[in-house]
Amino acid sequence: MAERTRVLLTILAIAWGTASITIMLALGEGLRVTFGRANRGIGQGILIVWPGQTSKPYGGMPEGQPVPLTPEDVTAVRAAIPEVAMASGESQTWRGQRVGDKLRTGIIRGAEPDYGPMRNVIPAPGGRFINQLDMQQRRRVAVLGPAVVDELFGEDVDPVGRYMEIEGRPFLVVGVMMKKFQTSSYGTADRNSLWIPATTFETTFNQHNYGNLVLKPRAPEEMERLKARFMEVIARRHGADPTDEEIANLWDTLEMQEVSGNVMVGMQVVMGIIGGLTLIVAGVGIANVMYVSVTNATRDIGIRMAVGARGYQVLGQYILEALLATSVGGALGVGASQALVWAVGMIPMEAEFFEFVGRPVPILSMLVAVIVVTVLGIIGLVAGYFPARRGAKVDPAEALRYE
Amino acid sequence: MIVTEKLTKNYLMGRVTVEALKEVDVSIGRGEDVAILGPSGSGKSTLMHLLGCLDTPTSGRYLLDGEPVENLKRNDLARVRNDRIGFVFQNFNLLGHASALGNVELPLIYKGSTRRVRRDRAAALLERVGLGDRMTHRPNELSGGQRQRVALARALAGDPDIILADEPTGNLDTASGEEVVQLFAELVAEGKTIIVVTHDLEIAERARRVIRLRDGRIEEDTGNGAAGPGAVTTEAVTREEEAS
Repeated sequence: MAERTRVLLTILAIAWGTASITIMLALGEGLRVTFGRANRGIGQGILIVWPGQTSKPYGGMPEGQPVPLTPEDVTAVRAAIPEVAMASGESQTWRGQRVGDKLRTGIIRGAEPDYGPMRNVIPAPGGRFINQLDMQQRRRVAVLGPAVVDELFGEDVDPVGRYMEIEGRPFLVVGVMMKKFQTSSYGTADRNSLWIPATTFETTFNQHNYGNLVLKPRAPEEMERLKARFMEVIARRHGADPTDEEIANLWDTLEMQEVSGNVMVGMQVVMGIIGGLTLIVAGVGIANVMYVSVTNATRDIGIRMAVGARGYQVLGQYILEALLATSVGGALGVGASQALVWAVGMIPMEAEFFEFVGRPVPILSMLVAVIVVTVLGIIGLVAGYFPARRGAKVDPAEALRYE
Repeated sequence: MIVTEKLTKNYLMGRVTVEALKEVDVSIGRGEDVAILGPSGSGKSTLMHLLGCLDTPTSGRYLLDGEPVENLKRNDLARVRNDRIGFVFQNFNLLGHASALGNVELPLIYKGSTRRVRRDRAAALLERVGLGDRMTHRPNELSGGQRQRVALARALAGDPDIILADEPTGNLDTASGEEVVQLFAELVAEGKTIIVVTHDLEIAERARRVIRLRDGRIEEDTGNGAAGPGAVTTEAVTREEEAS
């Protein structure tokens, strides 16, 4: 009877250890994916550039000359830098907006067509972002962030096809931005923003130069080259020293996302280690229990050897038992973890955070399962081996001598 | 078939070396019915362990069917035990959690027999010893005498030539003890070699040959002349050779 209790406790220990490491890893995975998604809210691997000023005298001009960023610069950048996949300029202003008797004051951004996909301003179905024709004809069209829609048109109203007033002029709403979660922004969060074609912006607000540029490399590996070439092009076009690093201010979101990604992976590793240690403790528990079993079974082993059992046959039996315990315990542990993950998924999460991102449910991926099973297998073998070896060394004459 | 030459066994107990057996020469033929008699400490258990290949001697030779086994490795000794020797112990030494059938099957598991063969043979043996109606009983559901009979059935499972019994009736009442001795006699008649180790003179005298041990040496051996009709002894072989 005591033997059965011991076996049961062993299995329980394994199940607990397995559940620990599995849930830890799954939690880490869920958080990583969630925050990854949130981080990319601003746009994935893009470069945002603000105008700067010269810090070195060059070409007869003293330092301190402002270096503007213009629509012509964007065209030049597209033409001269092969590493550029997408490019857009952006202008910003803060003005009044009206629909009927609803008024608001908020940011208005002028943008080019590439801007939408680069900055994750994705139009909801039924609408669109700024396009080439809008730019050419300087059309008065607008794409609204969801908060702007709520304020001016009301919640759950589709404004596409309706008109709004900006600075007293009528603009046609052609798209609404899909909801997303953003952890970083500049100016204001995108949900509060409103976009019109950059050319229209120029005409409406009499501003030729851009407030900032947004660029995207063809591949993440090309970002550094893009940055270098960009500085060269701007320096050349605006008569500045090509080695002057102050002529433009660069924000590399790729770098930021990589760092944050590394932090997440680091966190996962830590959680995995914690889970792993728990499992190892469980493994030590099994080894102890098996040791006791072997000691108590000395007489049994002696009998088996007396009738002809060879050392490795006894060894094999105990290793098999250990593996069985880890298998059953492991299955229980993984099952319990899966059940817990499903349970968490059932919890209704209403907050805005979860609406945008999708609930941060722990993710029980294939990778996690494989890691857990491997670790379990190793622990089972090691935990079984040492007691088993001791069992195989039993001297039948000795064992049977004691009654 | 069993021949020992100057068989010696020493044990180390702490710092003291115990000389359990001192240069024992013994020769036992096929089909003999032998008792090894001696008080505690005479070395009879040690001799049994050596003859049963449960242990190896410190020095000397042990020839089993003409082959030397004194230097065999553990695994090879196990094989010899499995094939040629059956044990019966004073305290039965059955597996507590297995049925009578399971216990008798044990040697066959290590012989590699299939499940069907094991079952059939174990059942037949249990019938033979009169326990056909108790096959599924656990040892704690059997009387002492019944347990010993199960042990005997187990000893016979691999069809060994030699049965070694260590005080087989020590934990039994007279009636059960008598049953066991009776079974031994039947086995001798079938040509098996039975060696009983005991300190009880009455039990020893039931055997045809008695070897007396004292302090690790043979004190007296009632000798080969006491072999039964079915036995083949070295003397009988010599006589045959001389006759032809």
